[in-house]
Amino acid sequence: MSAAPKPVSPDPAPARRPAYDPNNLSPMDLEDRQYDDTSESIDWDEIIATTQDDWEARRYKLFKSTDYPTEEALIQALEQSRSVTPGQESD
Amino acid sequence: MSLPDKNPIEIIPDLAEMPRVDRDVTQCLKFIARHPWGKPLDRARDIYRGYARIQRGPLLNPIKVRRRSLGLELRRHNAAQFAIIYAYVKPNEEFPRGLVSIRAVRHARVRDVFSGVREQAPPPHYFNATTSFAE
Repeated sequence: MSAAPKPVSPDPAPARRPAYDPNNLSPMDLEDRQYDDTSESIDWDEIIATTQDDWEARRYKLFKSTDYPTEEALIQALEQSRSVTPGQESD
Repeated sequence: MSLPDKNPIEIIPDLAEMPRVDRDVTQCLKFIARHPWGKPLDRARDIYRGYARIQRGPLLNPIKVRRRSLGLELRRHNAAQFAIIYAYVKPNEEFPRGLVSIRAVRHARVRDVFSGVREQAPPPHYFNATTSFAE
Protein backbone atom coordinates (compact mmCIF):
# COMPACT_ATOMS: atom_id res chain seq x y z
CA MET A 1 0.00 0.00 0.00
CA SER A 2 1.46 3.28 -0.98
CA ALA A 3 1.49 6.13 1.40
CA ALA A 4 -0.93 8.93 0.76
CA PRO A 5 0.76 11.82 -0.95
CA LYS A 6 1.63 14.54 1.39
CA PRO A 7 -0.04 17.85 0.64
CA VAL A 8 2.37 20.20 -0.92
CA SER A 9 2.54 23.38 1.02
CA PRO A 10 3.01 26.47 -1.06
CA ASP A 11 6.34 28.19 -0.80
CA PRO A 12 6.25 30.68 2.03
CA ALA A 13 5.90 34.22 0.80
CA PRO A 14 9.27 35.87 0.62
CA ALA A 15 9.83 38.15 3.58
CA ARG A 16 9.32 41.73 2.59
CA ARG A 17 12.42 43.83 2.80
CA PRO A 18 12.16 46.48 5.47
CA ALA A 19 12.21 50.06 4.28
CA TYR A 20 15.26 50.67 6.43
CA ASP A 21 17.75 48.03 7.51
CA PRO A 22 20.50 49.44 9.75
CA ASN A 23 22.64 46.39 8.99
CA ASN A 24 22.45 46.86 5.24
CA LEU A 25 22.82 50.56 4.57
CA SER A 26 23.53 52.19 1.26
CA PRO A 27 26.91 53.95 0.94
CA MET A 28 25.04 57.27 1.12
CA ASP A 29 23.36 56.37 4.42
CA LEU A 30 26.60 54.97 5.82
CA GLU A 31 28.17 58.33 5.14
CA ASP A 32 25.21 60.13 6.74
CA ARG A 33 25.43 57.92 9.81
CA GLN A 34 28.91 59.24 10.56
CA TYR A 35 27.31 62.58 11.40
CA ASP A 36 24.46 61.31 13.60
CA ASP A 37 24.07 63.32 16.79
CA THR A 38 25.16 60.91 19.52
CA SER A 39 25.11 63.40 22.38
CA GLU A 40 21.94 62.05 24.02
CA SER A 41 22.35 58.31 23.49
CA ILE A 42 19.34 58.15 21.20
CA ASP A 43 19.28 55.06 18.99
CA TRP A 44 18.37 56.81 15.75
CA ASP A 45 18.67 53.69 13.64
CA GLU A 46 16.18 51.88 15.86
CA ILE A 47 13.72 54.77 15.58
CA ILE A 48 13.99 54.89 11.80
CA ALA A 49 13.78 51.11 11.46
CA THR A 50 10.64 50.90 13.60
CA THR A 51 8.79 53.77 11.95
CA GLN A 52 9.78 53.91 8.29
CA ASP A 53 7.65 50.93 7.21
CA ASP A 54 4.61 52.45 8.94
CA TRP A 55 5.34 55.81 7.36
CA GLU A 56 5.57 54.40 3.85
CA ALA A 57 2.43 52.28 4.37
CA ARG A 58 0.65 55.35 5.76
CA ARG A 59 -0.07 53.62 9.05
CA TYR A 60 -0.35 56.53 11.43
CA LYS A 61 -2.85 58.65 13.31
CA LEU A 62 -3.38 61.86 11.38
CA PHE A 63 -4.50 65.08 13.05
CA LYS A 64 -5.31 67.73 10.49
CA SER A 65 -4.46 71.18 11.70
CA THR A 66 -7.68 72.55 10.21
CA ASP A 67 -9.66 70.20 12.49
CA TYR A 68 -7.64 71.14 15.57
CA PRO A 69 -6.64 74.76 15.08
CA THR A 70 -5.82 75.49 18.72
CA GLU A 71 -3.35 73.88 21.08
CA GLU A 72 -6.14 72.89 23.47
CA ALA A 73 -8.18 71.25 20.69
CA LEU A 74 -5.15 69.21 19.63
CA ILE A 75 -4.37 68.16 23.20
CA GLN A 76 -7.94 67.00 23.75
CA ALA A 77 -7.89 65.01 20.51
CA LEU A 78 -4.60 63.37 21.49
CA GLU A 79 -5.94 62.51 24.95
CA GLN A 80 -9.02 60.93 23.44
CA SER A 81 -6.93 58.96 20.97
CA ARG A 82 -5.10 57.16 23.78
CA SER A 83 -6.89 54.07 24.98
CA VAL A 84 -5.60 54.20 28.55
CA THR A 85 -3.35 56.68 30.28
CA PRO A 86 -1.25 55.17 33.06
CA GLY A 87 -2.64 56.24 36.39
CA GLN A 88 -6.19 56.06 35.04
CA GLU A 89 -6.44 52.33 34.38
CA SER A 90 -8.57 50.26 36.73
CA ASP A 91 -6.95 47.29 38.46
CA MET B 1 1.11 91.27 -8.17
CA SER B 2 -1.28 89.14 -6.13
CA LEU B 3 -0.65 88.39 -2.51
CA PRO B 4 -0.87 84.82 -1.19
CA ASP B 5 -4.19 83.91 0.43
CA LYS B 6 -2.60 83.30 3.77
CA ASN B 7 0.55 84.38 5.50
CA PRO B 8 2.84 81.30 5.46
CA ILE B 9 3.62 81.90 9.12
CA GLU B 10 -0.03 81.16 9.96
CA ILE B 11 -0.07 77.84 8.12
CA ILE B 12 0.15 75.08 10.70
CA PRO B 13 1.22 71.67 9.40
CA ASP B 14 -0.81 68.54 10.01
CA LEU B 15 0.40 66.06 12.62
CA ALA B 16 0.98 62.32 12.16
CA GLU B 17 1.75 60.04 15.07
CA MET B 18 3.43 56.72 14.28
CA PRO B 19 2.07 53.58 15.98
CA ARG B 20 5.23 53.10 18.06
CA VAL B 21 4.73 56.52 19.65
CA ASP B 22 1.66 55.20 21.45
CA ARG B 23 3.91 52.61 23.13
CA ASP B 24 6.61 55.19 23.83
CA VAL B 25 4.18 57.57 25.54
CA THR B 26 2.60 54.76 27.54
CA GLN B 27 6.05 53.61 28.73
CA CYS B 28 7.06 57.14 29.72
CA LEU B 29 3.83 57.70 31.63
CA LYS B 30 4.03 54.33 33.36
CA PHE B 31 7.49 55.30 34.56
CA ILE B 32 6.09 58.58 35.89
CA ALA B 33 3.10 56.86 37.50
CA ARG B 34 5.41 54.58 39.53
CA HIS B 35 6.61 57.57 41.52
CA PRO B 36 4.35 58.75 44.32
CA TRP B 37 4.76 62.37 43.24
CA GLY B 38 4.29 61.55 39.56
CA LYS B 39 1.38 63.12 37.72
CA PRO B 40 1.05 61.14 34.48
CA LEU B 41 -1.89 63.14 33.18
CA ASP B 42 0.03 66.39 33.56
CA ARG B 43 3.11 64.87 31.99
CA ALA B 44 1.04 63.59 29.05
CA ARG B 45 -0.06 67.17 28.52
CA ASP B 46 3.59 68.24 28.53
CA ILE B 47 4.18 65.88 25.62
CA TYR B 48 1.10 67.03 23.70
CA ARG B 49 2.01 70.66 24.27
CA GLY B 50 5.39 69.78 22.81
CA TYR B 51 3.65 68.48 19.68
CA ALA B 52 1.77 71.77 19.38
CA ARG B 53 5.00 73.76 19.77
CA ILE B 54 6.63 71.70 17.04
CA GLN B 55 3.66 72.34 14.74
CA ARG B 56 4.13 76.06 15.20
CA GLY B 57 7.84 75.98 14.44
CA PRO B 58 8.88 72.68 12.90
CA LEU B 59 12.15 74.07 11.54
CA LEU B 60 13.26 75.70 14.78
CA ASN B 61 14.99 72.55 16.00
CA PRO B 62 18.17 71.56 14.17
CA ILE B 63 18.47 68.38 12.14
CA LYS B 64 20.03 65.65 14.23
CA VAL B 65 20.06 62.81 11.74
CA ARG B 66 19.73 62.58 8.00
CA ARG B 67 19.21 59.60 5.70
CA ARG B 68 19.35 60.78 2.13
CA SER B 69 18.17 57.47 0.66
CA LEU B 70 14.86 57.92 2.49
CA GLY B 71 14.66 61.69 2.15
CA LEU B 72 14.42 61.72 5.94
CA GLU B 73 15.64 64.26 8.45
CA LEU B 74 14.99 63.76 12.14
CA ARG B 75 14.88 66.57 14.66
CA ARG B 76 14.53 66.57 18.42
CA HIS B 77 12.31 68.83 20.51
CA ASN B 78 12.64 68.86 24.28
CA ALA B 79 9.31 69.16 26.08
CA ALA B 80 9.67 69.23 29.87
CA GLN B 81 11.47 65.95 30.69
CA PHE B 82 10.77 64.32 27.34
CA ALA B 83 12.50 64.29 23.97
CA ILE B 84 10.17 64.24 20.98
CA ILE B 85 11.74 62.92 17.78
CA TYR B 86 10.07 64.09 14.60
CA ALA B 87 10.44 64.68 10.89
CA TYR B 88 9.04 67.62 9.00
CA VAL B 89 7.57 67.19 5.53
CA LYS B 90 7.31 70.40 3.58
CA PRO B 91 3.95 71.24 1.93
CA ASN B 92 3.17 69.01 -1.03
CA GLU B 93 0.11 67.74 -2.92
CA GLU B 94 -0.82 65.26 -0.22
CA PHE B 95 -0.18 67.60 2.70
CA PRO B 96 -0.72 71.15 1.45
CA ARG B 97 0.06 72.58 4.88
CA GLY B 98 3.06 70.32 5.42
CA LEU B 99 3.26 67.57 8.00
CA VAL B 100 4.98 66.90 11.28
CA SER B 101 5.61 63.18 11.63
CA ILE B 102 6.15 62.22 15.27
CA ARG B 103 8.55 59.26 15.27
CA ALA B 104 9.37 58.65 18.93
CA VAL B 105 9.03 60.03 22.44
CA ARG B 106 11.78 59.40 24.95
CA HIS B 107 12.33 60.27 28.56
CA ALA B 108 15.16 62.78 28.20
CA ARG B 109 18.44 62.23 29.97
CA VAL B 110 19.85 65.42 31.29
CA ARG B 111 23.61 64.93 31.23
CA ASP B 112 24.60 68.42 32.20
CA VAL B 113 22.99 71.70 33.08
CA PHE B 114 23.62 73.06 29.60
CA SER B 115 21.70 70.26 27.91
CA GLY B 116 19.26 71.82 25.47
CA VAL B 117 20.67 75.26 26.18
CA ARG B 118 24.09 75.18 24.63
CA GLU B 119 24.01 73.42 21.26
CA GLN B 120 27.13 71.81 19.87
CA ALA B 121 28.52 73.20 16.65
CA PRO B 122 27.16 71.21 13.70
CA PRO B 123 29.56 69.16 11.60
CA PRO B 124 30.75 70.98 8.47
CA HIS B 125 28.48 70.92 5.42
CA TYR B 126 25.96 68.75 7.21
CA PHE B 127 23.35 70.61 9.23
CA ASN B 128 23.31 73.52 6.85
CA ALA B 129 19.72 74.75 6.85
CA THR B 130 19.97 75.76 3.20
CA THR B 131 20.37 72.12 2.16
CA SER B 132 17.47 70.73 4.21
CA PHE B 133 14.93 68.56 2.41
CA ALA B 134 12.25 70.51 4.20
CA GLU B 135 13.07 73.87 2.67
